[in-house]
Amino acid sequence: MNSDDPQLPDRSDDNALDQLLAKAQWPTLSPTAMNRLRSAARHLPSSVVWQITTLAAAAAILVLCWIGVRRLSAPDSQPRTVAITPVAPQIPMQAKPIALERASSPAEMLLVLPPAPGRQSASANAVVNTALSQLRLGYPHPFVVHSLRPFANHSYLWSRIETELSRDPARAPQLASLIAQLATPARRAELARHYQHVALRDALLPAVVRVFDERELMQMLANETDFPRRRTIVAAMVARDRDGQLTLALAMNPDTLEETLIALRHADSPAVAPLLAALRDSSPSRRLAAARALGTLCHAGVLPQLERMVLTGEHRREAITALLCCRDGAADDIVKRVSQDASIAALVRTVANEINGSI
Amino acid sequence: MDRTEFDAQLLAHLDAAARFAVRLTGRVDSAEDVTHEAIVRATSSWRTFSGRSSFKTWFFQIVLNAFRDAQRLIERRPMMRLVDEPKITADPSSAADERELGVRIAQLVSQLPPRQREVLVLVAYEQIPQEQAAEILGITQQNLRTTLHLARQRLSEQLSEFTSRAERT
Repeated sequence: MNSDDPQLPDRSDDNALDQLLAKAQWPTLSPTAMNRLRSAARHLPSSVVWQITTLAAAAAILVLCWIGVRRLSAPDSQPRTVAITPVAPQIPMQAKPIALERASSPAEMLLVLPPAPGRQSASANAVVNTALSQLRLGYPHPFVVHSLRPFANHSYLWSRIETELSRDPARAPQLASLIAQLATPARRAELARHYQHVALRDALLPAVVRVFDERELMQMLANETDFPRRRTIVAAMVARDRDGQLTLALAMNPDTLEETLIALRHADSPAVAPLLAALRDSSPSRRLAAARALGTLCHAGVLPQLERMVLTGEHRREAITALLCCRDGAADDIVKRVSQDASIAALVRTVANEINGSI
Repeated sequence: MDRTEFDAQLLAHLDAAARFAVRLTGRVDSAEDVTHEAIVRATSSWRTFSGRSSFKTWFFQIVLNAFRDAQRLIERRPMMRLVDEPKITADPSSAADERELGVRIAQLVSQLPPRQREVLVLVAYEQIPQEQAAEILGITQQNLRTTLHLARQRLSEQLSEFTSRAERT
């Protein structure tokens, strides 16, 4: 103890106090925690410098954009509304939150919302720390976090989340949902690493299909055995496919056929024209895959063309396949109509048997 | 100092920084957070280390700032403190053995007002010379001595029963 102070009056119990203070015993960080810290110290440096440069440049651009937008926007423009429903506090509050607005999302998930005008500012790290603290403390309704500033220090955020993941796996899915909302293409590596945890996959999947490219999704699909997740991945790939080639490839693969057909059934605007063109492909398997995909789509605009192909004999088998795969009254009518021709009716029966045997 | 040397220094002082954080916060989980935050800050601003002070002084300053920021966050959200940091009844007379007494004293130190706690931990426990401690804290040495006196006075009152017992023996 070197706390003697010559300028202060001597106290007779100084020595006794020193002896007592010397006995203080604090807890020590566990070896695991120390390893986490050492790991952070070893891994952060390489990326941080690069990121600071990048973020500084990005921040400068953002500031310029922000100033531009502020100047261009009308003074009476409406503030951005956030689609959440604040609920009555279920945790006793003793002070009005600063920089954070307490609310609960319907899904009881942690949300980090984009900057919202009119809210008080909080540093990004403070926002993340608060959110994580709330999760750690087991609040039943984690706060919806508002921040005026975009997250600047992504290294901090990602490394904090990794720490939290190793510290409290029970909260992993909630943390993963936080990751999912903040994931950008630049964070592919971290996202892929976290996706290795099976428990986190459902929470991370929306980010995965948003961030990863088709090639990466295809690799992911090869290792994914859970059907709903496979369906989500395939649906994302089909939704992005503009030239229909990827959809065809997926439909030609027996491992992904079912997921592809389901995805096509629910797709908003799938590529119909490339599939129609593929009906005339030189490869029989591609023609068949295209026919099944078209039939699943059952697009009203395609049906007359399919009927014409049946009647003219142009790739009749594929056109019939498409019509039979289409579960629509109009397609049934066409099949009945064309089946009035005996030779076509025989082919319809053959194709129907093939479909029933193969799908 | 180049980057490699900086990294080596950081790792070399990590244990001390973590211990410092534990003494400041009184909690291992908070201490880990504070240390982690300090690592991030140190690595992102390593170029600002000019070598005028020792690496330990510089790094401890960062740990201290991270601790203060964490404290501010808790102060803003008192309900977090209520849940996270239950009130500890520091009654030394109930200390059953030396170890329990040690833990209680540590709790009392970690419950001092932040500035007093910082001064006491730096000077008394981290064995940092007063001149360096004042530099880390950004205060004058006179201020440091006064704060240290107040911290000791407060602890002396809280531990009066034990100090008198120690004197008797």
